[in-house]
Amino acid sequence: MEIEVRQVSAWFDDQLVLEDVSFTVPSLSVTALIGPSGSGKSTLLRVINRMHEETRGSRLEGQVLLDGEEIYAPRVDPATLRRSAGMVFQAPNPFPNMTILENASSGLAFNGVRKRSVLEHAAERVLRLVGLWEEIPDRLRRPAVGLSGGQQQRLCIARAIAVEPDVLLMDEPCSALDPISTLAIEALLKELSATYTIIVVTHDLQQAARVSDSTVFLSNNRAGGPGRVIEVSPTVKLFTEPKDARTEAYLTGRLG
Amino acid sequence: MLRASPRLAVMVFGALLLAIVISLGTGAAPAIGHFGTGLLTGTVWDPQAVRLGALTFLVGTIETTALAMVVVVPIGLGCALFLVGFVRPRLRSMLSTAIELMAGVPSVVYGLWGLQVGAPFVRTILEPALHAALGSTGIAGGPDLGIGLLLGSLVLSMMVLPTMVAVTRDVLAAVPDDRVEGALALGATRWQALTRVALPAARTGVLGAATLAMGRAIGETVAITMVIGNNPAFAHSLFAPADTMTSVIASEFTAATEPFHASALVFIGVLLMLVSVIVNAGARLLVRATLRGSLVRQRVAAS
Repeated sequence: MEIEVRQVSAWFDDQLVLEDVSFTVPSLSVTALIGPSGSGKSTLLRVINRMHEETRGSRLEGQVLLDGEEIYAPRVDPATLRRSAGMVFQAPNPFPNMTILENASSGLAFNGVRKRSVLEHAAERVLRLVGLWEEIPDRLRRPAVGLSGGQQQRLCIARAIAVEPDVLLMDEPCSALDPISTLAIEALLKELSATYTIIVVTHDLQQAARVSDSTVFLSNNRAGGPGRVIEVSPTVKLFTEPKDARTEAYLTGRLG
Repeated sequence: MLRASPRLAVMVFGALLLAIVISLGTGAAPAIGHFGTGLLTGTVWDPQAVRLGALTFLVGTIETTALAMVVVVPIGLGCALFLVGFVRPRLRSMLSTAIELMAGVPSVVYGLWGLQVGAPFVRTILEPALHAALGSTGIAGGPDLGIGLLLGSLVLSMMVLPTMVAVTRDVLAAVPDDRVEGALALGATRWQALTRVALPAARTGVLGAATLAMGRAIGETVAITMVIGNNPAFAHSLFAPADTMTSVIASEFTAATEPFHASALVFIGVLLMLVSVIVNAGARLLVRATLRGSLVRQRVAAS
């Protein structure tokens, strides 16, 4: 599913955090969103699945189109939209009151699926996909909070893809994880890119280089200023021959 | 020099509590000695005939409290969910202030309100409606007085609703945002996110809130004494006048001149204190466990 962000500006109360952001992400690709802290990367991600509006005092201008459909059109129900644009958060957030199986199929349950066999079948499919089914076959009916951080995050990915979205939005999915778990998630990301259009926010430039096809570099000119798109390029090109001096400065550690 | 020591503070208050228990125990001793276990299990309360059994009042307290909780728990839960999930912060703090003010209204005012407004309402509207629905014998039978078990329970529920709402609101708000957002991001509605994720995560605290409200209902005295009907007998219907542990002490103690009457009332006081302490301690443990659990989770997530 192609994602087009058109002239998006976003506010929290009176503070402008994103200014006139435009870029396009081709279908079935991995796009890395990089930039210094406070450049609005997470906000941009939350604009794409309409989670931005769940924050009190938030405001938005501009358009976001998924396969040409404007997601902020009045007839679009945010809950329905979020099923087609799944999200994985920075810190693993499995539902503490549910078992691993229940977590995996929770999105379907929210969407009205009641039949146990359907739910468990869906849970098995996605847990196999993220490798938890084979890894912990005896703990699937236990609470999810007993898992390691990396396992919890893979469960959250499984939960997100169980509702069969077209887009996966990942907000620094590895920042709370150890290197081994990080590699597992990166490998999974590669695999998922055949089926999903993925945008991943990351502070880890090497990770961006490893997993993404193209990279969007966001930055603000001054601390506290709004984030803007500085450069959008294929990842290899952005890392080897950046067009903008600010991109080069960031990549070489002189900015941010 | 005396240093501030938590252990000392605990000892001082423990000693005070013990002193109260001992002095009440001494006061209750003559009645206990005279009536034995009959003081707890007896159902006749006749000071003139020197036959005194407290079971009627224990049952009265259980009945009024249980009825009040049936009203308070669903309404309080609904109010708290509404406040946490669907109200903007400005309005939420205004409503919260109103709720806290409601908790600060003196008990006697609720009692007056119960007599002036509640009693006519129960007599002319609620009782005829329940007669029509449940028949005029059995639990909806009896005289249409207005005052009685049902009005007592309703006034109690009004009085403890603020506690239920305020504490439930706090334990729900303490559920980490990222859990609720996780549900929203999966296409859950706000109501689903609250009831299927936030509420189960806070369930121990909600139970604590209900128990805390229950503790207040058990101990509430002035208002219930004004509207319960002061009849030391089992209530055979919702509308019958009755008595609770608190109402019998409040209404009879100053006039207790018969032998053992005052002592038996003191015994009821001891019983009431035991029940209250147990319920309140349990409630506090539940609420604290929930709030602390959420803080630990937030700290882990932030680190």
